[in-house]
Amino acid sequence: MTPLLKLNHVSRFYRTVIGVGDLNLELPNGAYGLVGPNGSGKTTLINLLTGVLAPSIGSVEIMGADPVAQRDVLRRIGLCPASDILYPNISALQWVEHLTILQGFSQRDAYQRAVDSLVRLGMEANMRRPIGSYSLGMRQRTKLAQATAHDPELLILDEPFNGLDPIGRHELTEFLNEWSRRGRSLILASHILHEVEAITAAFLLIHGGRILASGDASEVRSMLSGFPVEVCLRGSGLRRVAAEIANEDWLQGIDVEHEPQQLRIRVSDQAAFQQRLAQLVQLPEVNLTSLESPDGSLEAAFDLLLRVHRGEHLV
Amino acid sequence: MLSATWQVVRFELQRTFTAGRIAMWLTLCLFPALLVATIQIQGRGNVPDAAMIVVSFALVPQISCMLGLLLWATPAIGSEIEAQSWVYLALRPHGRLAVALGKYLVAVIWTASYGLPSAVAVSLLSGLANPLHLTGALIVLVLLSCSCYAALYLLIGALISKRATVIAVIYSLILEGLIAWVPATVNQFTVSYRLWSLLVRWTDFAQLVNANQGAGLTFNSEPSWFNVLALIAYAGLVLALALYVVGRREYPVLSEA
Repeated sequence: MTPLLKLNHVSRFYRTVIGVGDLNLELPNGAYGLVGPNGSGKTTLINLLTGVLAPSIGSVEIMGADPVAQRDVLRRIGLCPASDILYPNISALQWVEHLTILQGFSQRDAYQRAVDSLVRLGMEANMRRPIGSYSLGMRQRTKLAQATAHDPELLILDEPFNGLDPIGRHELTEFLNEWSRRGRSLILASHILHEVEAITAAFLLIHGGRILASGDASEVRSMLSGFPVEVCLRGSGLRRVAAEIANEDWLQGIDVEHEPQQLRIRVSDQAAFQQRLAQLVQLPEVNLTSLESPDGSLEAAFDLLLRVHRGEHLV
Repeated sequence: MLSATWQVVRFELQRTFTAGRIAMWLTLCLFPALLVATIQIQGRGNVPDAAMIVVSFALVPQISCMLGLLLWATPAIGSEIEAQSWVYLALRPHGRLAVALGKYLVAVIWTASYGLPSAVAVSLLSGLANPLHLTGALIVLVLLSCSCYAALYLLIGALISKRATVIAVIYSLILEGLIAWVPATVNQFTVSYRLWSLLVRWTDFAQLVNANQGAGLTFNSEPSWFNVLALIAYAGLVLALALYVVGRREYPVLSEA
């Protein structure tokens, strides 16, 4: 089966700056979160996937086609970019209709699709007003309407939650979940992890123009199991705990802090540490009030991946 | 591709109906006629016919048309990049070419829409004994001027997306405003030279100034069809080049926030 996208040693340079570097990836159809901090290369990757940019090195295939040379594949993609709409005098209906006609639809079809798409996104009451009078949330819905009016197989969204109020975020989450349930593919770029987690469990972590990890949360957790993590203990008897574990093989570092009183431990083997900790808490002078460690959430995994990427904790 | 281009034309024409653009249209339409009327009033009807032909040529197919096209054709791509809308258009299969070609046509239509009535008004106010020759000549020259300069400015805008209008103005002043009137072979590569040659042929200008072979270096004695064909070929070639550039070039799009 043709993969959704295939990146073969893709690099993109902006003169001497690396936008993305040596990306190798093959993904089947599905919903993916593209997660990374601002400036990590998400938009560059999206521009490569949509043929707006060509790779400096390597090749990009999306649904089996090169998006730069075989531009017909663009009919199968809907893009909701991060950039705002700056056509103040045009209504959402006119704009979405215009872009749908440019996808190859007749004027009548395009009009109907534009109306349907805007109504589906809750813009029925406002779609004939000029875009200049819209709130940020309305403009986001309008952008999403132009991306979905031609019923694409793959929807790519770049920071779609920006500027949305909580209700708007919830509605967009529902819309994207429904999109995925219909078997359509989705790539959602965001720097806000919980927004991605609400829509898909599969994600690509990108930072510094490189994909740090891909897969679902459990795959990334197992990938990280060999990497050191930091655990913070609070309570009394922490000096005794420190003394007891000082010679353990899995201990990579230890800091005793007094304000507040806590023990920061860097361990290379979480399972061994947890076993030892279970013994230590039975000591009479040890009374732990809290233990903080990566909880397996996407945010924690991402934080750890970034540290690994930067070379921290790798002694 | 053609339906997409037609859609761009419709959409862009729809966008022209703003107070600012209508005011600009009226200004560009009326100022040549007002200037010619002023000259006639100041000259008390004794302005030489040859001078009026030169003024009419300079005002309508040259200055007025160039100004309109500088406003429309030069920023055709740059304005979309500035408005961050290029990415939406570039993602359509024929979006890039449809936008460039559609905006070229809109630039020609919009400019010709005021250039043609302006040409009629100027020739009627010129005080020539038989203004119909000048009217006919100016109408054809306006259409040729719009086609050629729109393609030229579109190309400049496609090559230089930032400050394209400044570059286009400098180009126009030097090449079309100066070099075109230098009696040397180089002026044959300018649009102004061909347009002026056609006007000289289609009016009584040469007889009025007793132009000899030497004066003919600022215009040629080729048959009209040759100059018309040269201008059409120029427009076609430059437009094709502009479309090629727009189709291939990577324009700056939104970078990471």
